[in-house]
Amino acid sequence: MAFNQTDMYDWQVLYTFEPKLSVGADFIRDTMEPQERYFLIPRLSWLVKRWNETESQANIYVYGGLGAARKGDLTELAVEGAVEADYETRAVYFSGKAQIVAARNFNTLAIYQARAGFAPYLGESGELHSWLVGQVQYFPFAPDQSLRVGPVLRMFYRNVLWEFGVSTHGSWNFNFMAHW
Amino acid sequence: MKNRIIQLLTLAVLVGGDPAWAGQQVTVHVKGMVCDLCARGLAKGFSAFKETGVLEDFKIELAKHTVDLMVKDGASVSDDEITKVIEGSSMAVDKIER
Repeated sequence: MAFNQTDMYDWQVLYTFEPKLSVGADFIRDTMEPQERYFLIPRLSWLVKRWNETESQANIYVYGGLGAARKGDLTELAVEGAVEADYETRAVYFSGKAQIVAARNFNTLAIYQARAGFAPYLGESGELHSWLVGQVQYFPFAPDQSLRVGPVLRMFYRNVLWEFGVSTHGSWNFNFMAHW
Repeated sequence: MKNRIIQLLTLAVLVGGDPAWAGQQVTVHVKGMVCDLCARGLAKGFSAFKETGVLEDFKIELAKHTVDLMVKDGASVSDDEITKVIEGSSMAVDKIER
């Protein structure tokens, strides 16, 4: 999965080795601060709880890991922790995320995100699925425009998902996921 | 006359389905199958099952929350085997109709 916006990107590669467990790595590039910084963190993800109902599904995930943070010539040990939750039916979708990456001598990178969306039509399996999503993001460490609000067009076809969005920051988002 | 024969053959295929398939249909009602990304995991699981030669084919219907399994003539698939595929995708079996 790749989350991209003009001043940050977060690329994730994950391999699910058990239905509820996956391993992988996060690579984050952040240019919100005056000095560009990078984080590379191997991580473990756990599907803590899934509620399966006939018309809906809800999930709670946690993930975290230990890795490296770098800015300029400075490299430090970094730790990441995150929790995500979502609820969806075929017609509506809600999600929330809190992700924190901390390292000594670095400002803590924190991302809080909430989303609500709906499907303008109900696609069948193998068809193109589209969602109109409202998104709020909060970056407490960002010097300006720490709160960003905007629409996201979320689409997926078979095993590929992509999202385009804009925000009050005046920037764009492009997210991409391929699922094998 | 030629058109009439083609029409009758088309009708026979539509009404009778695949004339080469004489097996059993199993309909699995799945809890939690609300999006196609979830269904992809199930498709992967049942594709692997198909390769074992037990299934003629399968069809996922999101609107009905079902997976239709076309079991080959003479073959069989148990509830436990079906449940294993569904739960392997972190979803749940609601009921299985045979």
